[in-house]
Amino acid sequence: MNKTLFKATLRANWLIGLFITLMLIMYTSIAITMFDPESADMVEGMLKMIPKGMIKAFGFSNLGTELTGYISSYLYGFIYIIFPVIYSVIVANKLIAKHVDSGSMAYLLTTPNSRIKIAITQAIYLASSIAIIFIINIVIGIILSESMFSGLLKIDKYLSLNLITYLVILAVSSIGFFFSCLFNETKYSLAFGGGVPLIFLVIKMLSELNTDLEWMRYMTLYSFINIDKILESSGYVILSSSIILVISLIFYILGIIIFNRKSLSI
Amino acid sequence: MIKVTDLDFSYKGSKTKVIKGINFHIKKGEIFGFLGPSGAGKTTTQRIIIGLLQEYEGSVEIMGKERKAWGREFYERIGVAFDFPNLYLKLTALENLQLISSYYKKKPQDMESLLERVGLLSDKDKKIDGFSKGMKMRLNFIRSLIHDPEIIFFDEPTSGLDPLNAKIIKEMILEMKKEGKTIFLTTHNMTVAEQLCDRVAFIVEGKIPVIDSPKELKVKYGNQSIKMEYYEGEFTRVEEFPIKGLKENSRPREILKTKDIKTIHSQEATLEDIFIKLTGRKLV
Repeated sequence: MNKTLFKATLRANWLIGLFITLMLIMYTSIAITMFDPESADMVEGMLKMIPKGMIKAFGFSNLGTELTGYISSYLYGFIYIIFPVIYSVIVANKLIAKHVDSGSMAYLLTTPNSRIKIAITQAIYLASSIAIIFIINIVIGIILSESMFSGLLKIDKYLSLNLITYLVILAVSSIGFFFSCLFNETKYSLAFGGGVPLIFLVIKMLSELNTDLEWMRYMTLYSFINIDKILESSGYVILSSSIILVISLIFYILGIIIFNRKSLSI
Repeated sequence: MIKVTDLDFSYKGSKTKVIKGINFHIKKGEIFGFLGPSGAGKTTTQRIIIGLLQEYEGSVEIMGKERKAWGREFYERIGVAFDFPNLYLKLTALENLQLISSYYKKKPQDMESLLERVGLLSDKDKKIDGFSKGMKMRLNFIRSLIHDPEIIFFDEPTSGLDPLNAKIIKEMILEMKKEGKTIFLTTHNMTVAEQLCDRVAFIVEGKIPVIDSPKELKVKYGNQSIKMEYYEGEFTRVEEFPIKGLKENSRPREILKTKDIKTIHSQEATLEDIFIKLTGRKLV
C-alpha cells in the first residue's frame, strides 16, 4: 500500500464519506429517539394502514417492542443499504476508472508506484472507509441506546447485524471496484458498478412484495441481511459472513489482477 | 541514452500496427524532437518508452537496459509531463508538488525556486481549481522535474502558454540540456522544435521517414528564394526567385531598375514546409 496515495484519495473523497455518515447518523438518531415500547400498539396500528407488501419491500416488517428488533427493522431493511451502496458505487468508480478516464492514472504510473500497489491502495481505501462509516454509526447507536434505554439494546446482536450489513456493502463495493478496474471509461464503470447493485435492490423489493417471487431473494446479495435469522442464530452470522467475505475477496482480487494486466487507454 | 530498434506496436484487439518498425537513438544531453500530426504515433511511442504500454515488439533500450527489464526504480530516473495537466484540484500548488515528491525516494528539488522560475510562487498556496490552463501547464511542467530526473519526456510543453511563459519554459529546457539531461520532446509545433531540438524525427502513420537536425533538413530539403513585391500601375505584383543561380537571373535586376519596389524578402523553408514536402502531410 502507498500511504501518499491513500492520503490523496482520502482528501479527494472525504466529503462524500462525511455526507453518508451524517445521513446515517441522522436516521439512527431519529430511529432510536423515536423508540417507545409503550406506543408499540399505535405504531402497529399505523403500519396496518399501509399495504403489507410495501412495508416488507422497505424492510419495516417487524417494528416490535424490543429495541434491537426495532432498530434492525427500521434501519437495516433499506436505509443502511441504500446510503452505503450509493457511497460504494460513487467512490469505487472514482478510485480507478475515473483516474484512467481523466488521464491522472498515466501520471500515477510514471511515479515509482506499480499498478498492483495502486489498485491495492485504492481497494484498502474503499473497504476501510466503508468500515469507518459503520463503526462511527455503531458507536453512536450504542451510546444513544444506552443513554436513553439503558440495557435494552442487545449489543452482541446489534454488532452481528452491523457486521453482516457491512460485509454485504463490502461485496457490493467489490463489484463496483471490479467494474472500475475492468473499464477504461467511467460511463461503463458507473453503469455496471451502479447497475448491478440497483438490480439487486429491485430484486430484493420484488421478492418481498410478492410471495410468488420469493424465490428471487436468492438472486440478490441483500438477502444475506436477514434480520430475523441474524437476531436468532449466531451460526447464520458466521456462515453468511464467510460467504459474503469470500465473494468480496474474489471481486477485489479479480479487479486488481485485471487492472494489472489490461491495456490502459492512457 | 535511448535506443529504439525495429519497434512495432498494435493495440490489443486491433490488427493494425500503430508503430511500424521505427528506429532511432538519442544521445545523453540531447534534445530530441518527435514531430508528427495527430494520430501519427508520437504519443504511443513515447508511452512505450515510458513503460505505460508494454506489449511491443522490437527493442527499446534505455540507460543501457531493455525497457521491459526495468523495475519501478526506472521512474526515479525519468520525468514526464503530458500535454494535459492533471493535478489534484483540491490541493494548492505547493501541496501538489509535495504530494508528487513524496512518491519518490530522491530528495526533492527546491519547490519554491521551481515555482518562482515559472512565475507561480505568489500562487503557491492557492488551490489548483482556480488556476488558468496556462498556470496548470506551468505547474505540470515543474512537477515532472521535482525529483531531478535524468531523462525528461515533454509532450507539447508550451501548449496553452502565452509567449512570455512559453519563452521561460523553452529557456528552462535549454538549461536542462546544459546540465546534461536528455530530453524527448513530442510536439507538432515546428517553431518550438526548431528553437529547441538538436535533432528531430518526423513520424507519419507509424513510420519515421527522416531524422536529422533542423539545420541540416533545411539545407537538404529547403528551397531558399527571394520574394519581390512591386507596384505596377494601380496593382501590386509579387515574383519569387530561387537564390541558387540568382546572379545569372536578369529578371530581378530588371524589376529593380524599372519598378517601384514595395518589399523584398529572403524566403527560407520552414521545418513545416519540409515536413509537408517529405511526408505529404500537414501538422494538424
